[in-house]
Amino acid sequence: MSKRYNVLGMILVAVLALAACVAAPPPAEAPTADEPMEEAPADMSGKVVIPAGGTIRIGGSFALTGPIPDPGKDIQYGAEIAIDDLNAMGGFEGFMFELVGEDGACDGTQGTNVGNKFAADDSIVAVSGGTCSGETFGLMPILQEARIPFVSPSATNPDITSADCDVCNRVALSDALQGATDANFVLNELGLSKFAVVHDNSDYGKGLAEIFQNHLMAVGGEVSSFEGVQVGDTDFRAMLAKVGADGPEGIFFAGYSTEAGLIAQQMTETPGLEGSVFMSVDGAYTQQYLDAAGPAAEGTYVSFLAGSDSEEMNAEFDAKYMDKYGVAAGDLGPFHGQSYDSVKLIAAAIMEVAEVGDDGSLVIDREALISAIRSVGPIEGLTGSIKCDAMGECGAGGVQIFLVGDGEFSQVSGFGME
Amino acid sequence: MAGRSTSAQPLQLDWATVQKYAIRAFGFTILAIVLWRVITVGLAEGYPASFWISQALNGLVLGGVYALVALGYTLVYGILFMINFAHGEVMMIGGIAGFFALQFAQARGWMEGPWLVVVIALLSIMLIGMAASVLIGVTLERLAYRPLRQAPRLVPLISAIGASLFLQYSVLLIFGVSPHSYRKPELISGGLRLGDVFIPYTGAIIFFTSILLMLALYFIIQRTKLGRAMRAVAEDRATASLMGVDVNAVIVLTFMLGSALAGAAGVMLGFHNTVVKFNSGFIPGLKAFTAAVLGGIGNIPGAMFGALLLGLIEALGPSALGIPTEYKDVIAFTLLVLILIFRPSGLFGEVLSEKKA
Amino acid sequence: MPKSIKTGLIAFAFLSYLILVGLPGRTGGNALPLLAFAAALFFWYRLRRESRTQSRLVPQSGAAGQAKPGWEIGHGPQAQVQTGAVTRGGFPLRVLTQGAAAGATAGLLIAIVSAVFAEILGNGVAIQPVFDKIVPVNVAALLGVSPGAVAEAQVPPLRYLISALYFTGGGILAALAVLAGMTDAARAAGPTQWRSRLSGPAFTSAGRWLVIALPFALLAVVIWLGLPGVSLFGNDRSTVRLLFTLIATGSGLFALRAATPGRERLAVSVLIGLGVLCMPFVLDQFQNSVMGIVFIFVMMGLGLNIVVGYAGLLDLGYVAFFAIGAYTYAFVSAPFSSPYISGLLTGLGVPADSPLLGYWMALPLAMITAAFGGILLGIPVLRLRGDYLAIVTLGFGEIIRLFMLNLGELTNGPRGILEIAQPDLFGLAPEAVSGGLLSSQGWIFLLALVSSAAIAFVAIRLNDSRLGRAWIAMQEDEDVAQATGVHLVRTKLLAFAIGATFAGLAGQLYAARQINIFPENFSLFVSIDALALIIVGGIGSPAGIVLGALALKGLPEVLRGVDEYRIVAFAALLVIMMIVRPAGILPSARRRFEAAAEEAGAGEIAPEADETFVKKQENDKGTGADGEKGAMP
Repeated sequence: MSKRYNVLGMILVAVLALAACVAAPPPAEAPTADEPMEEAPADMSGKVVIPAGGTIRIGGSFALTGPIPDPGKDIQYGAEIAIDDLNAMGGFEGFMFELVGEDGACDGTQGTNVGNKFAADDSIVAVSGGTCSGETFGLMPILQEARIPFVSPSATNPDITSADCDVCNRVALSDALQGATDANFVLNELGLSKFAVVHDNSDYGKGLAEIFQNHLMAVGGEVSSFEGVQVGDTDFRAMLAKVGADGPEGIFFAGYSTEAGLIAQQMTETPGLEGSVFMSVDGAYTQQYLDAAGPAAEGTYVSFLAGSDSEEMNAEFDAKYMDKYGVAAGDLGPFHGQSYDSVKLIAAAIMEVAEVGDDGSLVIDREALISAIRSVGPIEGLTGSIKCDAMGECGAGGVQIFLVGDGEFSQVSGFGME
Repeated sequence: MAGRSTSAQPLQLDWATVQKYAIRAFGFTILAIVLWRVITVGLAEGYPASFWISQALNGLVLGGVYALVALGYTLVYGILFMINFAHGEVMMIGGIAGFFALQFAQARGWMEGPWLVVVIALLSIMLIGMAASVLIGVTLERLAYRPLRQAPRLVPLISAIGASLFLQYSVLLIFGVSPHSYRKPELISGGLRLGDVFIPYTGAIIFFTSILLMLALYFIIQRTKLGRAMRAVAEDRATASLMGVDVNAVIVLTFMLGSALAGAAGVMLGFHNTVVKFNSGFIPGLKAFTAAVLGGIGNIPGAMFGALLLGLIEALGPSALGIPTEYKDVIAFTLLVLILIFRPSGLFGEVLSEKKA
Repeated sequence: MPKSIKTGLIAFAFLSYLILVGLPGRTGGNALPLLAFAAALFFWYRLRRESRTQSRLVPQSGAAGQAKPGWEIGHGPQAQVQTGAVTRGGFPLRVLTQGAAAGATAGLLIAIVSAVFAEILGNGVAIQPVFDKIVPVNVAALLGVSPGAVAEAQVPPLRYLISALYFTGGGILAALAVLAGMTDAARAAGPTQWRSRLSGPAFTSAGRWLVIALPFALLAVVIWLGLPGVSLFGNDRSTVRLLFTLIATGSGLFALRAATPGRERLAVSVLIGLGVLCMPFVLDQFQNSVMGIVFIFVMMGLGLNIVVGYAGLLDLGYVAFFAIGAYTYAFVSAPFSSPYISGLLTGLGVPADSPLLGYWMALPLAMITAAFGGILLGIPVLRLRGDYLAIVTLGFGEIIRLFMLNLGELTNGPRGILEIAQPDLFGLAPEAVSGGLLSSQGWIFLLALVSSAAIAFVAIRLNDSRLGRAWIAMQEDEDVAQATGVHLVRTKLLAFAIGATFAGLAGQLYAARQINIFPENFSLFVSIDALALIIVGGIGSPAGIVLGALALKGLPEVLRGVDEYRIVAFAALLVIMMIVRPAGILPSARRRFEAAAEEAGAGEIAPEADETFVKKQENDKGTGADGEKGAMP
């Protein structure tokens, strides 16, 4: 007898649950369904409403784990300092900014998860990130669908911005520019024409290496070999010996600092490469590169994408960075400035479109924000004055080329020196 | 191997015979293709002899490092039949400890002193690295593996994978994200230049130290009481225990030996490649495991030989076959598959123990 | 009493770890109570275990000298030998002193360490170059003072004493908790008892119905949390709701197991099926996307289970087939991302940016390609066994990934294949068909659910078929299986091919979910994840695999809030999980039986080291006694 009641009871619970399931309003129909009562009037779809006393939440996708946690951390720090600065200036109309950092792990799957997390959270206004291009490709379609604009500080793959994507922006300069400038530099200023091109098999490194290769050949140089290494490898001697057998005048490496430093160091030991020039790219413009290469770093070239003339601002930022995290800016990675600027850009756009409602809440129209990011500015950032074009390329300045001497980078060519 | 049965009935075409001949034919075809490729590439590229010698030396150094790590895999496998997936991380810890020891020594100026001081300091750094690795290896055994000794064999494997991740990311959290860069003392930087061949001192040290350590290990296994106990435990744990062997102690000692070798490899690799970071044990660990299997897992000379072969193939393969170096791992793994097709228990078979799996 | 000091030392090591990874700074100021509580939990565990062993061991202390490698945590040889000597008198007082001594040891050492740190930092020397997380903020949190006080060397000495006292208090608290919990009944029950409680279906009637009703109640909570107007948990609501979703799905599996076989189980499974099917409609985008990846991994897990769990072939390169499925679909769905195919198609006059095949038309293609890959791998490894197979499959997975990475002409290299089409529903977008009820991520989740169900059905039927018996026979002993007429080549190849097919299906859905795929998505870690989830869940058991996927792929997403500690926490859980429940959370019926047999025979020595995954055949059921296994050749 009791068993029958049990069955009945169970069916009752189940039916209730299913009924609730069907009755529950689906998220797609009413995107604001997830918002708390006091901030969700029916006509507020397509708008972010922040109740009085709330914070303006900006998402961040940073590569905190995965293959390159150090530059990811650096980017997170840059964004955090930007938020601190914004709040120190009083936020906006009494609303403070908040950074919702997530681990994008430099990986497409994680990027998709992070994107979905932001898309599901109605209080996320915009996103700063992702760190890697693959991760950003994971974020892209989801944020596009959710109408959340993002500004990537460091994804340099040329395909990140396109005419189809109105939420896609970046402060980093596209690799196309850097690869071409580097090729011109080695040919015209160093007078070297026979180069070996090495990349780290990431979409960033390989893309940049191919751009360099194509451009060098187009302007009359010669590429003696094109080789790839793995991120995380530490012994490149076999690869270098193979490269050295063709007797190139220099090696161009597209990738991150640790690998760059080790290649620079190990090539000094490789027969055929003792006198060759080493050149690397923005991923290697760090203290880590200098540490990893040691004395071998002297006389190598590194290009970087920047254009700041506000030394004062940078010095102030570096002091805050050191103060807050105990590491010098530049020790972990090169992109903290871009990260800072991307958050500043987002904040500027928000300030442009946000309106304080009658009930004291802040209303941000998503579509207006998307276009505001491209129209706002130019704003003064760490990397120069930031202003987006119609494709979402917001980076300031141009390519600078540095020579390492006495354990320090000193600019020898490029932006700001013409 | 199975040649005896076929010679008795040469005409019988059962499935096994067909399979065997098919495999042999396949093997010879592959061998012929590879040889043809190597010869054509060699003629086309026309590398000088010094190039091949340099590459072979690079391979031997790489192989020496793999060998020291592979021995740890092989020892543990020979006795516990488990893959200690975290062994690469044990090596990395040795490298990290060595880095801090080196910093300490440099801060005191020992690295600029007379050569005897430098040598003693370097040896102490290596010992410190080994001690750190031993500590981690033994802790690992105690916490993650010992409770699982009777469990189905996949369970310790997953536990080891968990331990590997745990060690990597703990190092990341505790010592920070920046890689640790070794500064070579003057004494061991640079190298020997013989014509067009350059031998870095660190490379030579790695190669000879690993040979030395391997010989010492072989001596321990074959000639000492501990070695006999280890072999007994590998053979049959229950019987060994009945014969008065303290199985737990032998297993702990095995872990200590393997970890010490890995720690030495970690420190030497730190000096050779100058950078240690949280994930720098993973790839060498994987390669060393491959090498151990290549030579016949559980077999000590097999692990040494497999490791040196793997190192040579990685260094020489891409140049000899005329393909980009990105494919060096493809070459290494393909070689592994091919060797295991023809010799299913590795090049040297399993000697340390005899078992079913 | 050296034993409690040892406990204190271990606790100190554990606490030092927490301090070194920078946890104190994360607690928002005063970390002491939290750390003391963590220590107390540890003391409680040690003291309880010890007092249980004592009360269990004292009557039979004669047997304590029998040193046996401990299979269960809790009675390893030392524990038995050492506690056997302890006398009975003054039990509560002894526990109290032990707790206090352990706590004082740990507390004193922590105080010393924090004093050393504070002293160094106070002198303006940075510890960060060595220990990244030892900055004034962290040390201050540890001492309960302001960061400024540490940096300026103005920590009142009393603080160190207080910090030591906190841990001593933790120890005493733990001892009190142990004493409170030490009823006679609990004392009588050995530590093994709870294991069988968890694994055995020994529910009381009311408890059983509670277990069955639980998933529905949790589902109701999930739905309620998604209703407009519910503002619980603030900004974390999405995450909390995901947690509830995961638990609800997981508890559904326990409910299934609790239901008695027959009509009741059928009814429960239909209801649970309905409940799960309604999830994609009510969850938000984040939850749907996480559940989507969870069930894609369930599909993979079920496939891998055929290879590893049924046929006993350890495959560490399973990601290869997943990648093959994903890339096959990518090639036909977004052919113009691949330079080579793009050139080919342009030559044929195909207009740019048009997909070759839709999701459904590509389905058989992905399956066939993956199955072909499975056979391709299977043939060369036919003769390999055990760990040789493991490393070769691992190599195969890496080879496939490296080809994806380096064959740039075909796969677009590291820049990946972009803009892969989502699956349609009768030629329409799912949102349109369902009238906006189903988001794109919800649709992927729904597809993953349905596909997992289909794969689970096929897998279960296969396991019960002639082929399934052949697999198990092969797993037990290849030579004997061959002697009894099992065609080894065919059986092995079928296992590889079927497993690969399922992975191919999962890969195709994954490509559709990701929209853009890159070679880095198919690293060794995918194989490891898939293997870990079937082992954590319970090898050979489809329900366990679902649970494993929920735990391994779902929980890390819930833990997103603790970002950098995510992987360490996950890894530690993996190890602990293996030690506490080596057979998995929801072991299959066979393994449950075997575990029971193991426990029954635990008195004897069972020294088999190289046991294969399943130790006994079904028909051994009658004989049971496991202790004899050691004697078997």
